[in-house]
Amino acid sequence: MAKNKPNIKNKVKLLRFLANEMTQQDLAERIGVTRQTVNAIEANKYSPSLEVAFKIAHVFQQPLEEVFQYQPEAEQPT
Amino acid sequence: MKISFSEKSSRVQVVALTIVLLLYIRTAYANYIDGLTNVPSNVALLIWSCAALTILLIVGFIYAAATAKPETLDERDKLIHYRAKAATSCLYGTGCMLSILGLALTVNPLFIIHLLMVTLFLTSIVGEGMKLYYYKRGI
Repeated sequence: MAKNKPNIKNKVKLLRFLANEMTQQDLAERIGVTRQTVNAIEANKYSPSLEVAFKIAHVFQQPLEEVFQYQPEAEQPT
Repeated sequence: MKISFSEKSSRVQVVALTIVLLLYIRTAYANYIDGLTNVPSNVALLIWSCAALTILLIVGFIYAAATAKPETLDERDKLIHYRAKAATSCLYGTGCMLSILGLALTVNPLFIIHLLMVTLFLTSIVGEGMKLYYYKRGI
């Protein structure tokens, strides 16, 4: 049996830094989640909903695919 | 990394539930050894275990609220809660089915009560443990 693991990378941390070193708390308040969730997104421990992903892209004034990149992995045997 | 109020309250609940469960099992076993195998002689055990759990949880939540700012659940918290609930519902169902089976087989009602109490404690501990696991490992 093989399992496809979705691999979504993001540039949230970089974009925060470029946006006048915005804090995780600032971003969290603007997109309506907790700071821990922003931290989990940056660490690739959580893939946000489409709504939150769009909100993040909107905060940084970037297209969605500039913030999140989908990288399909090769099938791994389990 | 500073942990959220939800994560801290899960830790508090795991600790409180484990302490009360261990004390409950120890006391129930001692009562059984002493020959107290009917429900009325174990009512005190049921009352104090509920009271102890309530007190421990209140103290724990006050501590959690004092050390982490309480926040509303966001989508990640809700997803973690749903997953934990889905995983523990099987355990809870098994305990209830065994209790019903015990009633059908006319097992001593005290054992049915113990089985239900242990099922409730274990379900809560496993559920909160799974939340902590998802918070740490990611979802």
